[in-house]
Amino acid sequence: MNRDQMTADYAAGVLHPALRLMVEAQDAIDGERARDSEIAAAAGGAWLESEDPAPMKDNALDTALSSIRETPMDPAARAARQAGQRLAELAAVPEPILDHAIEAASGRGWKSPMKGVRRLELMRDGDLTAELIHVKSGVSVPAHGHSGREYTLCLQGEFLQDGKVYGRGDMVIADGETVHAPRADGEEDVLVYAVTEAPLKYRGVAGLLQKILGFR
Amino acid sequence: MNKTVLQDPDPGADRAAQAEWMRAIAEAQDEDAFARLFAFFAPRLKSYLMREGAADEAAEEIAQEVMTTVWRKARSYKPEAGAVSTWIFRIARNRRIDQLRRGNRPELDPDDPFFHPPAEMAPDRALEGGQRDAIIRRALGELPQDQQETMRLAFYEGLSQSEIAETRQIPLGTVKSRFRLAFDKLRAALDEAGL
Repeated sequence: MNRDQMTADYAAGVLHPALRLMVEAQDAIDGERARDSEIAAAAGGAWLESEDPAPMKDNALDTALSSIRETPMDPAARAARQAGQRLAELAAVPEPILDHAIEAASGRGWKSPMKGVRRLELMRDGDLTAELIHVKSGVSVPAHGHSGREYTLCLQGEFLQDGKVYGRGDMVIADGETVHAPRADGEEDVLVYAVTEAPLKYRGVAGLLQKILGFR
Repeated sequence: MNKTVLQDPDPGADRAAQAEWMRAIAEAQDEDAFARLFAFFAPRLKSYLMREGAADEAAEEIAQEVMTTVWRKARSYKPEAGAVSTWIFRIARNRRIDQLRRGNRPELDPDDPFFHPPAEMAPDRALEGGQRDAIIRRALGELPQDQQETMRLAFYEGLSQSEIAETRQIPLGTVKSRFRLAFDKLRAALDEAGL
């Protein structure tokens, strides 16, 4: 799937939740992209208003009222963001992903598959895994391939992959054939939101360790 | 296909009042305000969901869940970011993604972290939101009918471009060009307004 197809699937409401977060996160970083999503949503809102109402059951409002009486209201998103920013490592995480990141950080927590690399799994759904990956400045992730596609959105820092430098807001889509060894290239640590279609397969020594330790 | 043309907003669709109800819900947990919002949006959500292929019972249930999410997330709604209907539409649209993901299983957990409205916009964009909504609506109403229909099928009814070509029996290239023309006009309308 390329970026245009992601946009179309997102607008149509059929994009996988892990990738929907990626689109929303990229939108949050890049205002120009956000505009197209807003056009689509504003149009949808206008059409929703002009729907012919379909009658609800007689007791529908009672059902709704008892439901909301049992439903605590979430704090304003701003409060959640402030809570997230107290976790310095999540400061660069855009709003759409932040709730998931806070939840995962206080639940499963970060795991370190190797020195200088930490990962936080946010979602695993079928073959798709969504995670935040934090790579210390100067560290290279060992060469690895994938049995499926890998979508990476850079949230912080710069990384070098296949001869190109990617910065905040850049998305890279690697197909299943690619073998690469991304490197945190700048002075800043790198944080990416990555969605992989199937578990990473490390090569060389790391691959052997992966088999032995089964860390993914 | 006369439903395709954007109708004049329902007289009940008083956007300022809806935004006010949202404020009352967020600040005072006002159940009367919720009831008013429910009376307007629940039947329209149900209608939208049935158009998407949901059976009567399922559409009713999902409309209920969307409205519960509206209550739960009320404090995230910012009137300056756009119309209440735009915000609720996004919740419902995301809800449809979840439904597909779950293979239409009927039991649903409204606390699912993925059952959530989109992020708050950055403040500078939020300030422009209400105005932007109004401009998009106007520009949408001024599109030729074939372009309006294409936009509606794609963004509202969730068809892919090739599905639109198939169901309307028109070449895919025609769908693509209508889509592009429509989007260009909507973007141009925003550009003109300096948004």
